[in-house]
Amino acid sequence: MKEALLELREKALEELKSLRSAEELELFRVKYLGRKGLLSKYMAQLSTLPPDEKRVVGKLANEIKVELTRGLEEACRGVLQYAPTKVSPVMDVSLPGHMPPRGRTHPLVQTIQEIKEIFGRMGFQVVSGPEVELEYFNFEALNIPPDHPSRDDFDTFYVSDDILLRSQTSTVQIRVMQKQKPPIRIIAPGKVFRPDTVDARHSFMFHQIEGLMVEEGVNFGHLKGVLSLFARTYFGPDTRMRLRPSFFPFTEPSAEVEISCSLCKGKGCSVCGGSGWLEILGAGMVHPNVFKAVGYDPEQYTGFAFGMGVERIAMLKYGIDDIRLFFENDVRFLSQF
Amino acid sequence: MKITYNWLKEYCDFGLPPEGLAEVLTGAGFVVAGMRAIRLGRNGDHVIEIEVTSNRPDCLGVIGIAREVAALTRKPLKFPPVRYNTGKKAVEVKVTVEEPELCPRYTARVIRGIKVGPSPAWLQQRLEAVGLRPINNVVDVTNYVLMEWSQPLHAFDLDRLDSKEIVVRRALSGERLVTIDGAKLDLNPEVLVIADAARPVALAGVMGGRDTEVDEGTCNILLESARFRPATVRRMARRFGLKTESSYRFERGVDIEGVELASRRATALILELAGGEAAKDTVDVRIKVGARCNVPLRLARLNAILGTNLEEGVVSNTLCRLGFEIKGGKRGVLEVNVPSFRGDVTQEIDLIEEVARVYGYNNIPTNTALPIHVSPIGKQERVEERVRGLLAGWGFFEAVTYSIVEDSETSRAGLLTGGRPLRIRNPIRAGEDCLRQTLLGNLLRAKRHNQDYGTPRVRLYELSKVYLPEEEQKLPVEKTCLGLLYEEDLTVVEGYAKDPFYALRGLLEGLLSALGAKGDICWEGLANPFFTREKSCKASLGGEPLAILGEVSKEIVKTYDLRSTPCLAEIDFDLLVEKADMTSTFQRLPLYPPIDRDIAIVVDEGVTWAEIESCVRGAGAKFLEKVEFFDLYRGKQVPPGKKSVAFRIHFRAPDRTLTGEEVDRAREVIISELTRRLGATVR
Repeated sequence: MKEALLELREKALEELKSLRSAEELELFRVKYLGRKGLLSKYMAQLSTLPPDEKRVVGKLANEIKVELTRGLEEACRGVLQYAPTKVSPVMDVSLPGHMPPRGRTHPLVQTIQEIKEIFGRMGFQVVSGPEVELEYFNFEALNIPPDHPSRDDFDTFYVSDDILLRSQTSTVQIRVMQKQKPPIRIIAPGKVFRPDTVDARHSFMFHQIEGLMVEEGVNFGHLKGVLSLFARTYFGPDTRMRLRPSFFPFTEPSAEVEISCSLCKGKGCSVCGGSGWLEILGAGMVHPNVFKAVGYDPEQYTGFAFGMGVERIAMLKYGIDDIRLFFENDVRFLSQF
Repeated sequence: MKITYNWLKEYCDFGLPPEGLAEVLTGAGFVVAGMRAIRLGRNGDHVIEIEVTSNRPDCLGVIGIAREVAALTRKPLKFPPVRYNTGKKAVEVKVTVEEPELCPRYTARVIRGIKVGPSPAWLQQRLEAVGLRPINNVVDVTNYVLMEWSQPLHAFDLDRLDSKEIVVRRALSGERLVTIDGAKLDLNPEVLVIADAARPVALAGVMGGRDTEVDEGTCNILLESARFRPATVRRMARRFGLKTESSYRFERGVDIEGVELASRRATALILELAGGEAAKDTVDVRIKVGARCNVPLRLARLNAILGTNLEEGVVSNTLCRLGFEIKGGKRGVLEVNVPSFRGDVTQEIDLIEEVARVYGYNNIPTNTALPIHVSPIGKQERVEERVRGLLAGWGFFEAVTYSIVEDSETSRAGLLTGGRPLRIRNPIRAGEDCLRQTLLGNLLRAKRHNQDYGTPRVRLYELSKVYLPEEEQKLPVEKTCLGLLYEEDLTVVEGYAKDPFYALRGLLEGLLSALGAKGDICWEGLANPFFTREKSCKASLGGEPLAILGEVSKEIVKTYDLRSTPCLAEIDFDLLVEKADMTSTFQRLPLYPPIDRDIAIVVDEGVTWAEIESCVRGAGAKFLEKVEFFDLYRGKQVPPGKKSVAFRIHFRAPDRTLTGEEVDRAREVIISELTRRLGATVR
């Protein structure tokens, strides 16, 4: 049997040299090394041999198996780059995956959420108030005299003489202060309405965020502090802020707050109109008359308020050039945020 | 408002280039919105456009701005000359003010023997530079002084005034006036006019009349300088659509003392440019005004509001430069006398703002040392956040739509609709005046928009308010609703598994479960024109109406011109928030496995799953833990008029593993109950 094995080896080694294709390699493997191959056949017969011979022949058979396996591997490398043993379907991992559907929160709501979060970390609580309001909360309590132009039909939607659609979220200041004693830190996002003809810059409905902080000892420096922390967090750590005097009936001193243009880094571009600065919000120290209207002692408490237009902030942040896009609800627009 | 750089420099030599001036003005609250270089004759100049806030009418003229610049740059302010030589003749004009409330001061000067002609080049060029059209030397002077003193003036042709008389009165019904620009105005008693003995000759504070205007033939003039009540002028200007340089200033209020100064200045200029002789006296009709008010300013208060440490000298110096006078006062308190042109300053806080403005907001130290406060996040916010997160994950885009809708949109009722819609008295577009009571119409419009712009299938939601009317004179109830518009991505396949109605119902159940909503939920059929009769239902939670949902009806598909049939839902979000319970409690995991049994039964078409489920639960089978529907089948093996319903029951005991026999016994109990009560047969 030893001879037969040696002969098999000779033959196999000879055959190995002539293999030229994957198919031939496979046939060779099946013929000699397969489960029902020639070597297996000899191995199966080992049990019939006497123990001494069995040991010798078994060892030889194993050596041949190792030799042929190596030879086959070498032949594989020689004949082909690699040796697939069968032709099976190949997984194309470049095919697109199954994406779950993904909707979006509206960009205006995202903007509100982000701003809320920043002020939330500074202790400002979210509150809301009615959108259809009494004239008192929208004007009178906010120190806006009866003759003031903003009360005209041109600037405010009226339902009746005393009921209107709020034209500013400052109404919420009054509602909160009527109910609550200082310290107060609130942020009030919501819809406001003004009879403007709709175009790329104007909408008869838009969103504002009102902020109010009232505590003993709060001063103009704190107003600057809180707003600059906000500006740097929302628009980026390099953002610079500046204030200039302005006029609102319900705050005094009043300020218009500007930040360095985040697009051109203050060098001047089309977004900031070449000035390098962007107006982002109005603010000021709460007017003593407003405190009196809600029954606070202006000598004891001081505070500041601010208000910003959500559409404007979102337009600046994302470079959106038409306010109407926010209300068309085109998913090609919504899916960008 | 436009001024020119050189004009301003005549009254204050501030020593700054135009750019520097712009920076100083903007920093003090007078935003320089634009600046451009021009040539005036042989000289260069700059036109500067300044935004003046509505509280500062005193700065709607070159002198007002010069006063600010002088204060800001610590340079002296120079006034133009207001002196002139008078003749011997008296004015011989009678002025009556019938409405002193509406016209607190009216002055008239008379100049005789003038020669009307074109103004000199310098005057014409200056007017043109600030956007005014030169007319003739008299009119140009009035306009020039208006731009200088922020005091509108009007010159009448004296000889055309009937009886040489001026009456400031309300117009009579039926009276008419043709203005300088040719507009024919029908007047009524709401309108304040300047009249002569016979007829109105000017719309008070807004525009003069054509009949009495100054032209080449004019020899004698009456020069009016007055103060009119701001609200009256504003109403008239709006009513007639006449927004003039004059009305703009009267609306904001002119300086009652400046009335006289401007009149003198104009008289001096007219005499210089058009010749003639001024009457020796003047007419000045005014109501008594109290003494100029003193406002005390506490230094400690100022520093407490601003967070500064300013000294008394700095503060008083700043105020004096702005034209305020300090009348002594106690230690730490300044008694500040307010000049007549600063009608906006009446309280201490107004003075504090003045100091802050000139000191510079950007020089006030920024303070970020604040006591810590925790701001709790409200339940509403938490629920909103969770719902938004889930809906985005389920492929919904959030829509934000207008609260004001067209009349036609209010004919269909949503979940909460009730009563006649609240209407806007002054809509910007006729017919678009109703406050919405449902979100569904707007969602369909948004769907339609997307369909028109290349997105045939969408999922949209809106989380926003509807406005439900209360009794008259009361605010409406504002309820937050969640509106959902759902469509499958692919072509809808018939049957339960792919029916978008069940998909949307499932989403609603998913929301309820995610929010831990407490209370029994009950589903019932619904008749609502938004939906088809068969595929629509309403849900109540704890007995309160929670939602309506369904597939939109053919009629709606037609009304909104849709090319697909979406499903809609409207949910009372306030109720959802109220019933939500997002707190988690731990329950020990069961120690023993459940044993499941699947049951398929054949029942009549009319038998509902709700009945089957309640029958299963009520059968009294032991160890029943959960009943899960999994299939509804109609077909070959099921006789007509019947349907096959399949479900899985989990049985579990808390203390041991159940045996197969125990479970089978329980299953038998359930089946016999189903057979007894619902006539079911096992398939």
